[in-house]
Amino acid sequence: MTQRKGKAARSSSGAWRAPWGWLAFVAAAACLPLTGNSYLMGVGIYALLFSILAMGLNIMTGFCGLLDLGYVGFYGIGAYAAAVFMNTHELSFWVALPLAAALGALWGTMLGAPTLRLTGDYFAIVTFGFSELVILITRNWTSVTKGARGFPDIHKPVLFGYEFVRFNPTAFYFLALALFSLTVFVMLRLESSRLGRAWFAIREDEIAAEACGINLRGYKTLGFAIAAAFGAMGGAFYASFSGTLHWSAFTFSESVLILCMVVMGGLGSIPGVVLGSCLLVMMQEGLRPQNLAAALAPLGVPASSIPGELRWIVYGALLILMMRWRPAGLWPQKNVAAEFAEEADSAP
Amino acid sequence: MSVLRVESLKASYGHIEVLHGVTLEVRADELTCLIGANGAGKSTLLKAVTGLLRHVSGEMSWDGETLVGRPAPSIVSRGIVHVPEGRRIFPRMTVEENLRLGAFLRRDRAGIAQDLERAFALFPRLRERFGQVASTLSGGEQQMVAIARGLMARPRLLLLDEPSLGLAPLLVQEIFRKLQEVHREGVGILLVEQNAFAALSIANRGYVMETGKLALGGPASELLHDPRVQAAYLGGG
Repeated sequence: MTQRKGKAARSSSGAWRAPWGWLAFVAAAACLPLTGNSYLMGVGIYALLFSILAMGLNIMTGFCGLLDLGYVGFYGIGAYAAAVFMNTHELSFWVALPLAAALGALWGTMLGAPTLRLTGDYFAIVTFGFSELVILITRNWTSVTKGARGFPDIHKPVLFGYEFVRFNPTAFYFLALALFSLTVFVMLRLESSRLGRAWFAIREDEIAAEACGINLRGYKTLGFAIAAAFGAMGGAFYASFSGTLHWSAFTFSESVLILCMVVMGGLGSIPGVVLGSCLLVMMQEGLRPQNLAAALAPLGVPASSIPGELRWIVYGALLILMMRWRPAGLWPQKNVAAEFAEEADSAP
Repeated sequence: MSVLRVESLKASYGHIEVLHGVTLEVRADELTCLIGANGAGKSTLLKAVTGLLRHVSGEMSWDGETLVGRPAPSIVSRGIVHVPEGRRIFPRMTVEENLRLGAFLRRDRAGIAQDLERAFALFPRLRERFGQVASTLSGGEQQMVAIARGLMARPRLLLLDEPSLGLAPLLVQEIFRKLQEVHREGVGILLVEQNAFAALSIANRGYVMETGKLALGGPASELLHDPRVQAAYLGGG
């Protein structure tokens, strides 16, 4: 163990320290159910779920520097796979979850191996096409996915005889927190590993990375598979938590939303990505027409004058402001922040 | 003693053939230079040898083992290391991180630490800049990082693509002195240069490339006095 610690301490991205900040965050998050407020816990569950998804996407877009516009495809595959495993094949949630993640990794490998030789925009287009295909298949493969009507009555997890229920979200909240903690742990280890160093090198300069003997396709495909596995794991959780699945939950706008979380938080920065996810989920809740109407009613603003999809306008405006004032993100990775600071200094 | 043999090597980018059958030999105990004008195919030759360019035909061998079709990592692990044109350091990483990535394929931690010391002994400036982000270094220091990163793979043959590019004459001299030092320590060098005079002055053997073909080859001291070379590359006449 001391040897492993020593290895991590010598790694490129700084010494391995006990993640006290993360432990404190998880401990604080674990106190939320004390409020007894189901609505708050529901928001918390979505914040944790989207943090998991954003951390997964961050492997591709943040660590490897590859724009993935179809990440939601893996989320959808995981969700439907878990639903089919649990309902059709009568498997327990605890088996279906890792199976769904493995299936996500498999699809990530199958999509990544032939397409990762494409560069930049071309790769982004392929990933976009992939997520659209996932939607078409879920809509039309009626015998398995129940088609456009949606997948109903998905089984709940059962732990030691206790069945999770949606109306009392405390159990789901702790499940989400556990999956979130697992994801953070894996991400921190990946970041300081040999694998992480290879990804960062690829992001910085592919030719130099190859000249150092880094197998570009191998490491990119591995990154894609791991990212896909976390997306699918998030999907499996979502399937069981929401109880029903509908293709409309896996559209392109969800991919964009997750990407916004990553970019807004700080590409490559694990705490940044979690911050971005939490903020955007809270904003999404705050900007719901009914919440907004309730907040603005005392000011005499009629509910009918509030546009239904206001949040997209606010996202757009926020992203533009971010790109102007904090281009590296809210909580950027250290070296990325340094570069932006340097550019600002050298600007006339 | 290891020899890199290249025989009637052809390479192309898409439909455009850039190397039209190049034959040459690089010995691992020599400092060889390859000179020629822009677009002669010097960089392409290096990329073909180190597996960065895949569409090649002809024969390349090292230690009697073919290199054709081998991916870049497999060539690095055989001791042939490419220091690409334009330095190509990892800009947002520190000097240390850059150097450690050079040793990516190695597992011998003691050996890596030892080579890091050797790199710092060769380039004391890099020891001072150890934790500095590479993009904030001067051009000369960045070139030192690129060379030191190549050495971290513990090469038997180091391929350098225009290390003098964009550097002040005094720095070019310094870099070339360092290359001679590396060579004295037992690393073979293939130096691709446009700065023909400087390259031929330190080399044992030289080759001249013109539009995808080898035009001349021989001991560097002879090429330096060859009237054709003087007319075309050394500004003499």
